[in-house]
Amino acid sequence: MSRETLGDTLLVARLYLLRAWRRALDNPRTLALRVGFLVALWLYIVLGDAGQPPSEIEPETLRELLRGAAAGAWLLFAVTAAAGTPTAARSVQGSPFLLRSVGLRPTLWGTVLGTYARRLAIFSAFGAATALALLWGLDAPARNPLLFLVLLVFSLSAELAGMAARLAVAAANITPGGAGKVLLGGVGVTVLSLAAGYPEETIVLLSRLPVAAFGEVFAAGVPGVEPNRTLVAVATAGGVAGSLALALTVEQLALRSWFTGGSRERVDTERTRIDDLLGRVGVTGPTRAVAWRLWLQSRRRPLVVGLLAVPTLIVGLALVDPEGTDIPLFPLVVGAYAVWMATVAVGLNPLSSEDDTLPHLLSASGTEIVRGYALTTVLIGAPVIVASVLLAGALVGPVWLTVPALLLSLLVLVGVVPAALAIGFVLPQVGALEHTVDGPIAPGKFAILAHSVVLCLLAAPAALSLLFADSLPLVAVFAGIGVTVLAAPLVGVLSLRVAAGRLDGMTLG
Amino acid sequence: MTDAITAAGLTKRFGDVVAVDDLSLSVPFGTVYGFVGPNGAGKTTTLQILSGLLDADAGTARIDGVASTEREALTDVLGYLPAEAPLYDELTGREQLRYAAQFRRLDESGRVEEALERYGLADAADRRTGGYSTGMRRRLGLAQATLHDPAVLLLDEPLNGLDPRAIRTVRQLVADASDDGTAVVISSHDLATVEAICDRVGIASDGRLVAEDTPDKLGETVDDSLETAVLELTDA
Repeated sequence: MSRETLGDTLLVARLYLLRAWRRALDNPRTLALRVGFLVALWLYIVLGDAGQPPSEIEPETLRELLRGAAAGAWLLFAVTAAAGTPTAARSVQGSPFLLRSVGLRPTLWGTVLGTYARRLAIFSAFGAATALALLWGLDAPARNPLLFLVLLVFSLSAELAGMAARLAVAAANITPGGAGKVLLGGVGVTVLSLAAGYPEETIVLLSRLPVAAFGEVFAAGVPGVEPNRTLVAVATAGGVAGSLALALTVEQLALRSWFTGGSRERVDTERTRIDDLLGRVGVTGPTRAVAWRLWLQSRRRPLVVGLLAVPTLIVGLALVDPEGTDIPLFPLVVGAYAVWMATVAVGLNPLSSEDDTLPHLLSASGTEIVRGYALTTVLIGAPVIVASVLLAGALVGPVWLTVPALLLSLLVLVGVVPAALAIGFVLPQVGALEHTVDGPIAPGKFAILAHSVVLCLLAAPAALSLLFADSLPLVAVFAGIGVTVLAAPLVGVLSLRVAAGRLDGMTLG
Repeated sequence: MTDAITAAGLTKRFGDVVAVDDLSLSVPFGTVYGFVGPNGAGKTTTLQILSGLLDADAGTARIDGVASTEREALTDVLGYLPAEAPLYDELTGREQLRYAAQFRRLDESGRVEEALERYGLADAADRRTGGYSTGMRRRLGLAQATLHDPAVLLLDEPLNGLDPRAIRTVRQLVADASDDGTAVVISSHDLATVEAICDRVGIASDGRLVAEDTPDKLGETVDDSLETAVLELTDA
């Protein structure tokens, strides 16, 4: 890399950081939430017992756990990076400006550098705060000074691997169709769910991957575990060399895929059927328009694939282990997952793709618009919930729980969908999204977190009552179920009002 | 006059759609070239190929002797304003131009202040571009595209959303650039302005260049104006 290119790369990174900083300041509520989360995490680390191994776990088992967890985290980083990698020049914000001013290399690496600089700043702040706590004499867990460097190589190698994989697929011009996406999503969800259902076997499998060697570094502070320092050094050196090779590969692949332009979407008259259907069942006006538009968006979104893949997961689990998994109340858990996925996929980020249509959207009644969003989420979510719970009950069991789980899941859906919409209007992920950007239109992390909390709170009384039905008096079991039954519609109605009110109060300014 | 832009046999497909179909053109230095045609005629795709932001499936293009695929070398000779001005909403107008100047290693303060004055943005220079009107964004985009005095200027719909005063500013800018020997290609639906400022006009339809001549001669082919010529020649 020449001196000029390096200078341009640093300049692009500086530009990226300045923009990220201003966006953060422009959204004080989100910033406060993030800072609050980090502070809570710091308090947990410094004041809590994080980092102290549970006494009942054997040191060698713990070491395998750390190795497996490291490999799992590496794969997660890679997949996340792959999902967020731009595969076309038009997906990079301001690309006509950057590419025409400095070319591809500074554009690509300046953005990556900016992303890492932001993360480093957060890590450093975290490290400084922890060191300060140590000076005050708090009992913070011991940390290996090399941990920071190893973590950097660990995450960088994972991200570059993910980027390279995504760009390789784009450069090969492989674009799965609708059925292909569903199939891929089904396979992905099945693999993830099997991993969750069989944690011990998964950890053993993951700990044998080469990247699991990074896990040795975490063993440094664990009493009774002697980390393999040679392995850590080899992994770090290999990570550095591998990252350099991957960086060159990413650059070449970006050169091949960024300027092809992709393919334009074809007109699909089949898509109008849902609009006709809505009209036939009496859904009209803005509600119908929003529902149809959201349906068109959601059909394109890979997020929905995860939702549609739930029945595949159930069949897969039943085939692998007909006796069922260790997950208690399996049909109810699957039903709750389907509710969660339906709202994340469709309802939780309602304004995601409305950039061009906001003026029309805001000119209609908030209640009607919210109904449109809710209707679509329920239309997509309900059949999946029914299919998932029935399959889970019939193939995995317990069978007696099938009908209660189905009713509870649908009821929770009624409460969670409006709540998700209200959260989506309060914490929208709009600024970072453009209609030109490829990839999924995902809700913000904090919106997902808030929505997950609401779902858990609504489902918990019934789930806990059923889980401990043997040891609780019958009245308590029914009372627990009753709380969920009453709370779900109540939350739904209140959330609808909040969402509609929020939408009515929105302006374009 | 030597040619600033030469394109031969450019073809670009998006799946089954042929956006540009065996299109060839040449634009000499000091010429203002109007690129007109209906929506979907392939104008923007052609400009994207010429600017090096899109690879053609077939054909070649050279800008001031530099192949459009040599993107690094192209940065010095080319100024490009896409239909949506590439601005960052989080930056002020002055900051946006300063970054543009720094990327191109230009005298920051002198060029930037001069451009802000020239495009009537001095009063709004310290406001974020996210709050700019459509016309102000176009003017800032133009200032950014011309900051380094490129030999070739590609302007995709530069007149969209501009008020009469701003249109006059753009026309003057284009005339000045042309006088300085810059080749300017303008894609536009504003046929009256195209007729007034362009030395040559290419009419595109279905990805092909169906006619090319001076505005007057194109009008003469239909015994009327350029507008009639465009409407008749693209009436597929």
